[in-house]
Amino acid sequence: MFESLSAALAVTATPEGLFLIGLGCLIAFILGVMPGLSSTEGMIILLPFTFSLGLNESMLLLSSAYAAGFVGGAVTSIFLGIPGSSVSLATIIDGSPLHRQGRTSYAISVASVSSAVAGIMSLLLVVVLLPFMEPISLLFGPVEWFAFVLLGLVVLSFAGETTMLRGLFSAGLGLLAGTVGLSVVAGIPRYTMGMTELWGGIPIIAAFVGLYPIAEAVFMAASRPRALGQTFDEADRGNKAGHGRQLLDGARDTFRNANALSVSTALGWFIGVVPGVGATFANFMAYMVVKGLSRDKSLFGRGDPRGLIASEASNNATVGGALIPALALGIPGSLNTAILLGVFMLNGVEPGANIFSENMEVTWVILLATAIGTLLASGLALFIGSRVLGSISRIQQASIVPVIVFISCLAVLLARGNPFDLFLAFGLAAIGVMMKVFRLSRLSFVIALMLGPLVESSFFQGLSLGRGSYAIFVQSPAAIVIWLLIVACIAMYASYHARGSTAAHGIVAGGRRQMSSPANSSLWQRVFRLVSAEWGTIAFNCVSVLFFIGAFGLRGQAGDFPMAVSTLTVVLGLAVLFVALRDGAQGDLEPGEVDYELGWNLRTALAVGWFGLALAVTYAFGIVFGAAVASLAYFLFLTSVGPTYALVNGLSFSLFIWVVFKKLAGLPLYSGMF
Amino acid sequence: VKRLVQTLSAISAAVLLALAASSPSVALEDGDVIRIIVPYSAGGGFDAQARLAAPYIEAALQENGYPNSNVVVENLTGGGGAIANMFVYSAEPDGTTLLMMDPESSIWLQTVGGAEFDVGEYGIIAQQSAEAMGVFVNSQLGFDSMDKLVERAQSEPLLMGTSGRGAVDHIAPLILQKMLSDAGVEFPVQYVHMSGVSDVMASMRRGEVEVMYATLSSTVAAIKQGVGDYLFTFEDHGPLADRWPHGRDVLKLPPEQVERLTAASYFRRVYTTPPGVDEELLQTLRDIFEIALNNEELIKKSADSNRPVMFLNGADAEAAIDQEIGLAKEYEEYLREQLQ
Repeated sequence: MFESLSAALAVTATPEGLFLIGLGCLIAFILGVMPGLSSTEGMIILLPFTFSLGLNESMLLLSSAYAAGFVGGAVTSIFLGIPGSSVSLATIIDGSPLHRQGRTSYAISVASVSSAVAGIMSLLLVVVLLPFMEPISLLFGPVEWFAFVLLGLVVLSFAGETTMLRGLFSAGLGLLAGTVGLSVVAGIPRYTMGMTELWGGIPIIAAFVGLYPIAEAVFMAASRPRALGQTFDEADRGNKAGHGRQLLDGARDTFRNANALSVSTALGWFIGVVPGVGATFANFMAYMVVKGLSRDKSLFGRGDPRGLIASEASNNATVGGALIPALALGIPGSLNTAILLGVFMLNGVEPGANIFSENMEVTWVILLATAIGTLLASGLALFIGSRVLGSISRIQQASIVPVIVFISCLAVLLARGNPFDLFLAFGLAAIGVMMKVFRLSRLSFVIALMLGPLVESSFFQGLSLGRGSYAIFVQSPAAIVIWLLIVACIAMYASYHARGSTAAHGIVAGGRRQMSSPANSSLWQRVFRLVSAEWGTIAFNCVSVLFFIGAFGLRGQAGDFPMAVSTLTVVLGLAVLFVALRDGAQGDLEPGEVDYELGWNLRTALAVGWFGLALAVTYAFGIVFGAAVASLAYFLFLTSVGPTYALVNGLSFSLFIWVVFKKLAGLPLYSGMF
Repeated sequence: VKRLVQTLSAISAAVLLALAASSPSVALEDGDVIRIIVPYSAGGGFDAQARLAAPYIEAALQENGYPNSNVVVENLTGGGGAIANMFVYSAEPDGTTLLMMDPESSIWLQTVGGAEFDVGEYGIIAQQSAEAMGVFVNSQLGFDSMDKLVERAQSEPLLMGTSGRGAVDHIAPLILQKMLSDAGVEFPVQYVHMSGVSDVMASMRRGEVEVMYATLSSTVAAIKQGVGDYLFTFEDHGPLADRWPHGRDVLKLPPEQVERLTAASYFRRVYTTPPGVDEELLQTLRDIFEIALNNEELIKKSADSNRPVMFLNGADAEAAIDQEIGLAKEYEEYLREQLQ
């Protein structure tokens, strides 16, 4: 173990290694600060660079980005009252009031110190458990996996971004999307519409960039350009007084609240271990637990440092926890670890038990880079100065749309080398936009998409190993423990709701849009309003019905899973509509999201047209040409800059792609169909 | 109007610049980038071998008239290899897009899977390697002979892990079962389809999967760790037996059956061009790959990484693949029945 540690140190403690850590950290931190973007987008943007790096170097870059984005998100939550990403959701509750009180530096200090401490503690826990990981990983066969993944899906839908019902419906849709491609049990194509490109299923990188960065870019493009740091100047005036003093007080108070810090760290770590749950849930759960355990709850929601510690310590602690299933079992616990695993595979290393016997060095590299990334990002947040952070958050978001879109396209093209994936990514972006507009959970969707084939294959593998007997699913001690955890989670959730508590969810939600529902309106009037307000949800439900019908045409076991899932999804979709009809409420905005302006107007039409142009030109003439033409068109028609500025910007962006990715990194850039 | 003219001028300038930067070529020329498309994900045996050979192929190119050409390896995964096959099958036959083909799976995809390409139409450049496969038995079963294994299978079907339905480690044992059955020996097996050889091996370590049909290189570590071993092989002499030191028993099948089963049990890695490639260009590629794949350094590195080069020139590799296509056609109905 110590040999591999010293080898990892030799890789990390070099000018090149430290440069990569610094680069990953800086980019992810800046993106984390920008509302709507997180460390995931940072990692996706950095992904193309890793194609020309070795595994260790790639891990230095990505692991530091993974950790740094979490810290960056806290800054936005505190400054703007808008979560930088969903993992910083609960940070708003106490961080934003502190900012309004002129204690911005204090809040930043508490967030940074608790992030750093929890991040390092969670990584130390991984180090302590390293010798036991191989036997632990062998505890998990198909039977245990089936139960474990179900546990993740259950907890995810309980703790998702929207209501539990909408979360479950979204997960159902994700599971259905995961059935597209060759059946993992029968080996025949399902729902591929005759396209062999879909035989391999929906590629996960295309799904990520479609549902997240490109979908967010649609909202940015359709919104009027605006700076988001509107409240900065007023609050910053108060902050100028005693900046250094506030930093010291924040650090001191973080350590004084050691109970909140340790409870949140432990909770975040364990939640991180469960695949598919991750930091958003940890963020919520830790806030509720710390608040529940505190004797004096009066300051929570008004700037209590314990709330801030709970939120930031827990989300950073998930980083170490999520590395356990990712490294030991090859299973992504979050979007970020899924990207890490993808890079492992690209570099010829298969994650799993053998990583500890054959590639221990890279495990240490990840741990070291994550630790340094956490400390660097916390240092950045602490010392870079609130004015600089405020300036970053004021960047007009619309101007970065072409960058986000084309770097995302690059990631898609480089990941699988198939231009067809561009259509998938843009199609999924449309789905992502609809899911956001209709308050469905993209996180549940994408994680279910990722885990769906695993649920199906592990179920049928388990059944084969049990020679057709279902008893095998409850025979091993590990499986029994997981089933008990599932039951306990459901019981806890039921008990929690029976007490009628809505706890933090109600506090942090971005606002509640009511569908006007006068008591005296007729049923037909209410149905009409429901259709106009929920047509997207209805459309998604129709898609589920189509999957159900399609399952009848599939032979043997190939149809069993889609039929079961589509039935459940249709039922859940109907339940969502029933609740909407009953309550007349559209529900909360998706926590962690910025409420962009999106209406049917000329700008929206232009934005949608621009995305169509970007896709068509890129597919036809390649990424460099696409970036030039589409960026030019974007600046001309969706911003107020002049043609010369637009031309210079468009060409320089495409030149940047060509020089950096083609010439410097030596990557094969897609050159178009013509 | 002025703004419109400026806008159109700007767009025209960008279009002309970008078009000037991308002019397609129709034949292999100095400076071309040769893309080797690997049908499976990075990290597997195919990917490792292609990446191992790529620098030597590049060097051979550069020393034989293409000093500015490069070789890149790209993974185009999905559909059990179908997507990469479709991509290369429909690519320009100009020598710049090559497939590192898995003939067994490609033949299965074509004959039984119904994929729209014809393996017989590819231009075959060279075979880099071919590994024989055999039945790897979990040591936890405690068997020391083939007879005991067959006896046990007849009392309760053996749980055989595969790397996926329709993969070569599924097709070959199905053919083995059929040949044994034709020879009067029943060998009942219940297949457990997993996601790759490493999953099967992990399951074997947990004592779940009882047997697997595997290459020696994928099981060397497991043999050392006592996870399992090979109880029998198909022949007791020749190059296959030399590569197969662990087999303890020789499977008693008629010699012609052994030859056919051996052909079906090879796990080949072959470089191909899209159909319709010019004969002269194909010969050029064959010459370059022959130089590259016979490089002593590559041969040593491959042997060290337990993926030895078993070079066959284009003509010989084509003959071997034709034999496999013939076998697949012979068993097409049987396999279709078993797989569907």
